Amino acid sequence: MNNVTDTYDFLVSVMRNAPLGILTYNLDGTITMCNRLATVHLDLGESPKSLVERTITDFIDPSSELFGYINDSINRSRQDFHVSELSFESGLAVSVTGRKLTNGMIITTHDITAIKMYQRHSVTAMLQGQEQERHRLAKEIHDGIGPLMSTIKLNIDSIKNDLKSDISTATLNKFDSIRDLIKDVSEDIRSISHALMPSALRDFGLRSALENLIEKINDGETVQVKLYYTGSDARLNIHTEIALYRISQELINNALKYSQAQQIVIQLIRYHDKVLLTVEDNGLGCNQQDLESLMTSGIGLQNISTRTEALKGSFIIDSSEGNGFTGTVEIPLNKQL
Amino acid sequence: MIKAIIVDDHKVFSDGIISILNEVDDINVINSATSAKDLIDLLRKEPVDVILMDISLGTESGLDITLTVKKLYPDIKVLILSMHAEKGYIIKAIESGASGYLLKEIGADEMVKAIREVYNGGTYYSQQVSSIIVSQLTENRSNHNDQSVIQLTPREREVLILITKEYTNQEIANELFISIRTVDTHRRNLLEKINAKNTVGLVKYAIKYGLTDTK
Repeated sequence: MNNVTDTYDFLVSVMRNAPLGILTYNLDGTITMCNRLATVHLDLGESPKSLVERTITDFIDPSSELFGYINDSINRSRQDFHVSELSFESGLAVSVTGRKLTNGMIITTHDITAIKMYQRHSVTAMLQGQEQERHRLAKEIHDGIGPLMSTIKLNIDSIKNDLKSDISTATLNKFDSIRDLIKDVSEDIRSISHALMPSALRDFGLRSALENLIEKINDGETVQVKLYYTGSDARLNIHTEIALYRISQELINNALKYSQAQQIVIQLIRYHDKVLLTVEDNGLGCNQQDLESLMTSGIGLQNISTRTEALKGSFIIDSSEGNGFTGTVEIPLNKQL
Repeated sequence: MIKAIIVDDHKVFSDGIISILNEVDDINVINSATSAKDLIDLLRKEPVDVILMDISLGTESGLDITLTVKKLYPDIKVLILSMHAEKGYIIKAIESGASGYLLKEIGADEMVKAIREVYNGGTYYSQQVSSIIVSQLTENRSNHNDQSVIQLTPREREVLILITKEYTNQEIANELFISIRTVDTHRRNLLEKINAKNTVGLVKYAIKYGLTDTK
């Protein structure tokens, strides 16, 4: 390249054709260069040409993580940064990296929509495979071993009637203890099968299954659990129903284990475009620090996050010391995979 | 003599039942079937008085078969014999025309009692089943009383009362020790449940049902 014009033209063509979004701005936030992909990835809403000389912060959503970094780089100190996922209503997901230049910053953007979609697909496939296997096992136990146990019990009963007259009390007692054991095993089998996959969930849907679950807890525990259900009773997609059932189970178990609550309120609201689930207790609650560590290291809450993300939903928890614990899950309808 | 047939996809279980019941003088289990087609074929040849019906029959449901049988043979009594102890199944069984519902864990004596009862035109539900039916009935009654008022959770009532006192979301959050995001969720839920368009609608509802003060 012989002269400045050639170099400039070359740089412009590199920028235009690079498979990533590029945008630079100087120390006061004025955009100095920008290519078309950057305008698309950051949803800037204007052409590259018209953006030059304007202020970057005017074009970024102030509530986003990215805005925080850019704002800091202009008003505080310049730091390299990376936003691993920035999502938009349109479904577009991008990653954004910021690096220091001598007199400003350069931002590069990558379209990660496809990667995110594959991730969601594989998580969904994993979860569905797991549920399918649970279903199979539950059915095998419930419909296979269950009736065998019933048959054994019936036969034992009928033998007892035959033997009653000519056996000793000691033998009769042994006989009775066998009979009781069989009954215990039958009950265990039923509850194992039920924990794996409640058949009422597949046969009658989420509301019915939650009612059964709550009835069982109210029978045994001192806590009062109450279900509020608003909206259509029409069945949802079975995967959504299973996810919401598992999430409710997880949140209820958390409350039973840690909260010392007297009351747990479960609410399910069917909006026309989403389902909202809240599980709320009036127990001990926890402080902000514990809440954060729960969210990042608690397996139960991570499971909820994974399930929610697979359905493109959101999961938030809210708690403070002494003021109970609320988990809220929102699952959009119609937008599922 | 009560003539009966058993429908169950587990041969071991039906064989067990047949051998036990056939020791009873007034009961004769003449056959067993594993599917709807099986059963209808058998009934065509020889009608019975009572059918012992399982619910989970592989791909078929005993509850659907009950409905079909009751249409074709209204006089035959169906007695459900199932592992399922959940409300949904029991309600559907009654709706399908079954005269009784037994859990498979019951003893032989009770089974005999139940067969005689339904044969004589009565109904029979084993103990756990009848307690589920009773709880369903009481639940229906309490819902019925509350029909005019939408079921608000205790927290929603608190939020609604504070809204009528013109508290902002931030103030409600401070008052109830919850985050502003949660307050916003409660507010949206209230709008949806009460079917109101805006805060005015919420306040109108609160006034109508006297939800304006905690005291």
